[in-house]
Amino acid sequence: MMRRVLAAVAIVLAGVAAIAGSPITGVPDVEPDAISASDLARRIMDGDVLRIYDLRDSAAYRQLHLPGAVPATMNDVIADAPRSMTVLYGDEAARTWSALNRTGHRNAFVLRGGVRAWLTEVLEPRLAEDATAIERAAFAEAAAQSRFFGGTPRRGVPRAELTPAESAITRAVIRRGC
Amino acid sequence: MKPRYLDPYLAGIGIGVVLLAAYVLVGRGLGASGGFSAVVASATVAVQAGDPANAALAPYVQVPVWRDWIVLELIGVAVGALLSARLAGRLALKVERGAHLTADSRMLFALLGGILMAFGAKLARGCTSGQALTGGALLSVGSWVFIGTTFAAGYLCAPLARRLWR
Amino acid sequence: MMLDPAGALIAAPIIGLAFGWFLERGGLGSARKLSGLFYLTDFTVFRVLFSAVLTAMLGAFWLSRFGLLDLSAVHVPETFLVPQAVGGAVFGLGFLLAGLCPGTSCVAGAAGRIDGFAVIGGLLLGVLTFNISYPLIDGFVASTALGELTLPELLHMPYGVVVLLVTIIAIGGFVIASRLEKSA
Repeated sequence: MMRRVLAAVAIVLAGVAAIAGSPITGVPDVEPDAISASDLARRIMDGDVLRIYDLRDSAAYRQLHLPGAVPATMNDVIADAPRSMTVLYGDEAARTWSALNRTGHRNAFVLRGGVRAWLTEVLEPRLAEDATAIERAAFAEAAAQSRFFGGTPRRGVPRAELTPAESAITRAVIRRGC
Repeated sequence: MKPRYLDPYLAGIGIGVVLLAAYVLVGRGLGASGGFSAVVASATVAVQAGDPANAALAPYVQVPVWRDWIVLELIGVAVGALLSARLAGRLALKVERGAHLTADSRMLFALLGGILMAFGAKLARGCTSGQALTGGALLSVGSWVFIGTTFAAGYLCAPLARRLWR
Repeated sequence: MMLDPAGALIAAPIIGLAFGWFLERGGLGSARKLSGLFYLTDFTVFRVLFSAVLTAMLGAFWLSRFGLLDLSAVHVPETFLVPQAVGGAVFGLGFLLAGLCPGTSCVAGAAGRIDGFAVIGGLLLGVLTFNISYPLIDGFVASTALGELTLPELLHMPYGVVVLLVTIIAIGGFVIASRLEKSA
């Protein structure tokens, strides 16, 4: 009997949850528009007008930030009220995007993959030692991007290391488990 | 008369509430395997067999082991378990094993199982406490994948391990 | 309502104590009981685990919905798809052989079960082995990193709907478990 009561309570709570909206206040159930690191790199190289906001803490900003990025909090960004293409990265990026979206800004993006993606896609792209022709072609563009931003493209990388794990910079970005 | 075990659903709800308290008070969930990593890493550095900046050790030696959250939590787990067992009359020094297994074999497989679990937990960044429980309740994709493959592997290999438990 | 770092450290053993208490009360300090799961005779572990997940999941949703918890401030374990899939499989095999997991090995040991200590020893050895072999596998370990990715984000569904689906699946599992136990 008790089990039926518990099950019923759970179903009711879950059922109402399904229609109760987002549990995270400030973030609607709409996924933020995202831009990949390499797309962003291309736009910067093309000279597009961009506002890039780094929403992480100042220590992280000092360690590494995107070119032209400005350190800011969510409130700073809203107060700035940018209208040109805006790119956000950091833990608060999604919430900030939602806030901007609510003010009518339709040209804002979250950086897909964050700083880590910037590192692995743009600054330190890797080419496997046994790369196919298609991979080489893609890498050629990635390497050009990387050099533009002062990064270090790597050739001849063993396949197992294509996704870099512990380069000096990425080490600080990866967290431990439970 | 020994008290029987608590209804599993009530025990589960109890654990769920504890987990919730952790989310609310500490902003994180429970863990277990991380504590073992912290102990090994600290010991490795303490006997100077490893560099604290080594990628495998670094995340676990940022704080002294006695100020590591999970280590302190695990100490609590042991105390809580001790208390509960004592009050229930279940405190007993013995080797729990399947009906057809010798104590020595049981100890060997327990050791082997522990080694495998440690490897799996390191790869998965957690175990049943950190991934299945904590990550599962937070709907983390990786945690649910972990739950899936853990149960799948267990069920698939169960016929081979019958000797251990039946 | 979040505690400061010092308070968090004081809360750790208290939270652990409650965790250990309920684990032992539920019978999860018994390797034989845990193994019953894989032979379809005793689904205690399944019931405890998933009712805990349901409780915390529903509780977190509603506490956050009413502003008593900031879900976005809670650390969601990051997803490393392939390592976690492989890690789960290896873990599952170890779990089958040991009959205890890292948390319940401490519960068993605290209650005097010597096999619990053997599992603890194995875990420490396993971590050591992993650390030693780390340079060989670090690329794999860090592969397919997807960050703090949740099911609602992956499936493009509202959070609450996923909560409902998980609840239904879990309760369905409980019903099946009861049926299987009866026919065991």
